[in-house]
Amino acid sequence: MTVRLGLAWLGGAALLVGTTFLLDDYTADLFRKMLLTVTLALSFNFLFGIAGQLAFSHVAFYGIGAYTIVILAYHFGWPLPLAFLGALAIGFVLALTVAVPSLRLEGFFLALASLAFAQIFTVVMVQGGEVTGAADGISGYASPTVLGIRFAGQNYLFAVIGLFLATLAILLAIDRTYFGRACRAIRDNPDPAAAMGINVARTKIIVFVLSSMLATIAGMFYAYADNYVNPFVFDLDYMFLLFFMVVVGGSGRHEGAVIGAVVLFALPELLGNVIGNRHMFFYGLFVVLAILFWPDGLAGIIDRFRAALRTKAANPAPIARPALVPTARVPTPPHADAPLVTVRGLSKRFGGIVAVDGIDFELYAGEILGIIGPNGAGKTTTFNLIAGVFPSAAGSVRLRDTEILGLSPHDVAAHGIIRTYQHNRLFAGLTVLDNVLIGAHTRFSGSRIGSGRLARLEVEMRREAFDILSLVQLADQAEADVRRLSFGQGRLLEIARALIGRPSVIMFDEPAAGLAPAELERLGEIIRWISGHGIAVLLIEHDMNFLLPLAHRAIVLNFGRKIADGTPATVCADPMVIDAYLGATVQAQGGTA
Amino acid sequence: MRDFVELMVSVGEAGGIYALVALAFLVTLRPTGVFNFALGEWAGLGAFVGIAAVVWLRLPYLVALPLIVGSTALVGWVSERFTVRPLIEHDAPPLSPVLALLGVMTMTHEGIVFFFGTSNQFAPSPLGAAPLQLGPIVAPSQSFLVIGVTAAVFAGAWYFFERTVWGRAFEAVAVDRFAAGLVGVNLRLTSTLAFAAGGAIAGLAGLLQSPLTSASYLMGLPLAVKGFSALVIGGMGRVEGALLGGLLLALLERLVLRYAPIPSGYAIGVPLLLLILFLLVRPTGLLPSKTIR
Amino acid sequence: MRLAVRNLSAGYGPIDVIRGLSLAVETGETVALLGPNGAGKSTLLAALAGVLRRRSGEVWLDDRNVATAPPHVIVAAGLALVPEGRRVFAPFTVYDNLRLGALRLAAPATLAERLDYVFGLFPRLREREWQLAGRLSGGEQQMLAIGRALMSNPQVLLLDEPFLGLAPMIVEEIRRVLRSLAQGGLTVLLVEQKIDMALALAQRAYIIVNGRIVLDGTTAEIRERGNLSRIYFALSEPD
Repeated sequence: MTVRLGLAWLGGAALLVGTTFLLDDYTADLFRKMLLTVTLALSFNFLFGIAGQLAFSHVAFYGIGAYTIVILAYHFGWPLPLAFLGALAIGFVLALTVAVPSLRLEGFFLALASLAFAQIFTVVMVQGGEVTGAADGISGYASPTVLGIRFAGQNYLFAVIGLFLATLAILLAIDRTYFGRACRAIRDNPDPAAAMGINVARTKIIVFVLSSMLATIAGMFYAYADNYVNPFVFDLDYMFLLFFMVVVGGSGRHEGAVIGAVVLFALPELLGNVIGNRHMFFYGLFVVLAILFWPDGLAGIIDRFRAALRTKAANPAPIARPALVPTARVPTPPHADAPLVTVRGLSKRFGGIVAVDGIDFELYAGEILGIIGPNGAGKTTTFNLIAGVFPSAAGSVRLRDTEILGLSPHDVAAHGIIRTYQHNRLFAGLTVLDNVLIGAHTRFSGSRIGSGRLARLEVEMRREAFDILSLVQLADQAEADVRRLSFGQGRLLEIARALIGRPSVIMFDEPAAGLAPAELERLGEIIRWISGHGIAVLLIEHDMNFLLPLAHRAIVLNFGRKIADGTPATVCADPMVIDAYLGATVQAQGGTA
Repeated sequence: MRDFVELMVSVGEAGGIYALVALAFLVTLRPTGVFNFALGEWAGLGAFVGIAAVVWLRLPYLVALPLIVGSTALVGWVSERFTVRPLIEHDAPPLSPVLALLGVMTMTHEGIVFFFGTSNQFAPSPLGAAPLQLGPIVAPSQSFLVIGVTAAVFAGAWYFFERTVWGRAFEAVAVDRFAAGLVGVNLRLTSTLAFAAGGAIAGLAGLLQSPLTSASYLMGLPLAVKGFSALVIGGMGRVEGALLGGLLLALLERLVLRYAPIPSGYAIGVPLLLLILFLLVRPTGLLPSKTIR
Repeated sequence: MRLAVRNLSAGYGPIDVIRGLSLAVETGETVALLGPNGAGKSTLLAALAGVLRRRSGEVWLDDRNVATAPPHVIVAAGLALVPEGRRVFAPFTVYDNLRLGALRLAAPATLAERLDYVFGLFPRLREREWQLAGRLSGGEQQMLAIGRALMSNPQVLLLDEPFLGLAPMIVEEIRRVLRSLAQGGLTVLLVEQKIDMALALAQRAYIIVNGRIVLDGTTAEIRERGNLSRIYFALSEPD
C-alpha cells in the first residue's frame, strides 16, 4: 500500500468522522443508517454487480446477523464477543447451505430460490414466538460494552464508519487480485472463464459466502442502531431497494454502489415534501430507465461527464517492443519424438446420432495440425471433447501420460490445453489487459504463495500481459474497453489470452473466419511464432488458402471418422477427400491440385 | 363427508387463483423466455380497478369485466413494448428484461398505493354475498365463481394452445423461435400478445380473489410467489401444469394448516419450501413439457 | 417469381459473412449455390428469408424489395426457406407442422388444398399425419420440412443442404419431388455442398468462397471446367 493510498484512506476516514461532529442527533441517526445501507449495497454489489449472481437473499443475511447476535447476547446471555462469533458461525453455515445448492440454478431460477429463502427467513422470525419476539421483534436491550467502551451514540457511529471502511477495503483488495478478476469473468462469460482455468463452482460459492458474511456482520452492527430488531426491516421491500440502489448507481462498480445507496437513501429525506412517500415509484422508474439507457448507472454518467470535461491528455506511446521474447522458458516435452497428445478411439454419441466414431491421431510439440472436413463431419465435437465440454465420451485423450478425456474445462486448462472460440468470447466488463490476465488464472491459482508475493506476482503478470499484447500489436489498447475492439483485434486478444497461460497446446476454432487479408497474414505469423516456441497447435479451419501454407499436417474427418492424415497438399489431392467435399462426379473429372 | 366437500371447495377456490397466476406466468414465459415478476402486482391492480369500477363507478359487472381485464392487459402491452422489446432487440444481456420488470413491479405497486391507499377494500361478489347451494355443496357464491371461471379459462387456454392454429403458433415460438419465424409467425406480435395476455389473466385472478379476502395493497407479492411456485411444481411447459400446480399447492397448504402441529402463520412456508425443493430436484415440474429428445 | 439480389452484405453480430453479393434466379429456374463450409451459403439464405437482422443491399421478389422486411412479411410475399437441419417442430404432429406452414397462406388457396398437394408429393407424410414430428426418421423430417415450406404456396423456394445425412433412397425420392416442383414452374435456390447432386438438379450454379461469388455459369459450363477442387480449396482465384 503506497503512502498516497494510505493517506487517502486516512483522509476519508477523518472526513467521515469529522462530519459526525457537525450533525445533530436526528441527522446523526440518519447518517449511520445510511452508512449501514451503503455497506450493504457494497456487499450486494459484489455478489450481483461483480460476480453476476442475482440472489435476493442478501437482506435476509443482514437480518440473520442482527437477530442472531441479539438472541445470543440478550436471550442466552452470552458475552458479546462470543455472541459475535456465534452469529458469524451461524451466518457462515446458512450461507453455505444456500450457496451449494444454488450452483445448480441459473438466472431467474436463482432469483426465485433466493427470494423464497428470504421470505422463509421473515416467516420464521415472525413465527418465532418468544425467542424472536414474533412480529413485534426484540427491543429494549442495552448497547454493548466492549473493553469498557460503550457502543452507543458517537462511539457507535465511529464503529459503523469503521465497518464501512473495512468492508470497502476488503472488497477493493479482492478487486486487485486474480480472484476479483475471475468473478467478473464468470459474470461476463462463464464458459470461456472455465476454459481459462477458473473453477466456476468454487468461485461462486466463495463469493456467495463472503458477501453473505459481510451482510451478516453489517446486520450485527445494525442491531445496535436503535436497539430494536423486527422482521419487517429485513423484508423484500428493503431487498428490492438495495437492488435498485446498485442498478441506478452503476452495478459492478464500488463507487456505483456507494453513489446509488447515498442518492436513493437521501432523496426521500431531501425531497420529502415534494414527492411524499411515493419515492419508490420513481426508483422503479429510474431502474427501468437505467437498464434501458444508462446501464452503467450514475457512476457511468459521471464518468462520461468527467471524460468530456477533461482535455485529452497525451497518452505516452507504449514502448514498441520487437518480437516477443518470453521471460521464461517455454516447456519442452520430455521426448521430442514422442507425441504430446495422443487420441485413441475417440467417440461420442448424442442420443441416436454418432457424431464422432473412433478417431485416432497424434499431435507433436511445435507442430501445427489442421482438422478439416465437410459440414457435420465431427470437427467441432472432436475439438469440444478434448476441451472438456462433454462429461461423457468414449476413447482416450492423453497429454503425455495424463488422461485428459472427461476432465472439466477448467481442469483441462490447468493441464495446459487452452482453446479459442470461433465467435470471440471475451469478457466485456474487463479491459483488454484484464482479459489477457484471465488467461493467466492458473498461474495465480496454481501457486501457493502468501499475499505479499501475490501482489508481486500480479505486477509481474501485468508486465508479461503487456508484452504479449505487444506481440499481437494490441499494446496501445491495453486499457481500452473490449467492446471497442474490431473483430480481428478481438481474435488477437483471444490468442494473447491463451498465450499467457504458458500452454503446451493451443486449440483454434476457425481462427481465420471473418478476417481481412492483412489480419490473416498477421494471424499466420503469430501461429508460426507459437509453434516455433514448442507449443502444439491444433486448428479447425475451412479456409484452405490460409491453412495449406501454414499447417505441418492435416487430418480430414467425414461422418465422424478420420479419412486422411498427411501433409496438407497430400490430403487435398486425396481422391477420398475430394469426394467427401465435392461428390463423386468431380473425382472422375480429375480435378486435382 | 361434509368436511371433505368443504376442503375440496376451499382447495378449488384458492387453487384456482394460484393456477390463474401460474398461467399468467406461463403465457408470458413460454414465447418470450422472460420471467415477469410484475405479474403479482398486476393481479393486485386487477383487484383494485375492479373495486373502482364496481364500487365507485357502480358499473354493471358485465361492463366492468372487460374494462378491468383490458386495463391489466394494457399495462402488460405497454411494459412489453417499452421495456422488454427494446432490450431484446438491442441484444442486452438476457437478464435485463427481468430486472427492468422488477422496476415495473415496484412502479405498479406504488401506483396502487397512490390511487387506492393502504386500507383493505371490500369488493362484493358478482353473485351476491349469500352462500349458494349446488347439489350437496354449500359455499359462498364467490367460491363457485372462482372455480367456474378457472375451469373456463383453463379449458379455453388448453383449447387455444392445443387445437387452434394461432395457439400452436404461440407454442411454436417457444419450441423453436427460428423455425417459427421462418413459417411466418410474427415474432414481435407474439411477444406483445404474450405480455398482454399475462396481464389480463393476472388481473382476472386478482379480481376473483378480492371478494374472498378483500383487496389489499400487499396482495401482489404473495400471489406472485404462490403463482410461480405453482408453475414450477406443476410443470412450466404446459397449461395443465399450471392448473395441477395451483390445485396441488392449495391442497398441501390446507392439509398442512389442518393437520400439521405448527402455527398457521407457517402456512406461507408451504409454497416457499416446495418451490425451493422443486427448483433443486425437479425444475421441470411434475408434468414434463412435451418435447421429444 | 424472379429473385434478384443486389449488393447484399449480411452476417452475425459484428462479422459480415457475405459482402456485396449479387445474383439472380429467373422465374422457374433452379439455381445451385456451391462452395466450401463457412463460405456464406447458409448466411445468404437466412438473409433472404429475413431472419438475419444485419443486412444491407437489395432483395427483389419480382418488383418488390424485401431487404428490410421481417420474416413473416417475406413469407407472405411468396418466399419460403427450408432451413439446414430441418428444424421441424418436434412436439407437434405432422399435421400441425404443416398447418403452421400455411399461416400466411393467401386466398384463394385453402389449407385443405395445400395439404392435399403436399401429401400428394410426399405420401409417406399422409400415412404419418398424426404422428409427432420428433419421432419421424431423418428423411421423413426432411420431407416434412419441405412440405411445411410448400404449405404457404411459395413461388420462390430456398433449400439449405436438404440432402445432408440422408440415405440414398430418400435422397432420390426428394430429388424427384424437387425436380417435379421445378418443372411445375417453382423458382428454386438450392444450397448444396456436393457438386454432383446440385448439378443434377440445377440449370445454373454460383460458387461462393469467403462470402463472394467466384464463379457462375450454366451447369454445362461448370461441368466442363476442371480444377473445381482447387476452387473449393481456394487455392487460386479462377481466371
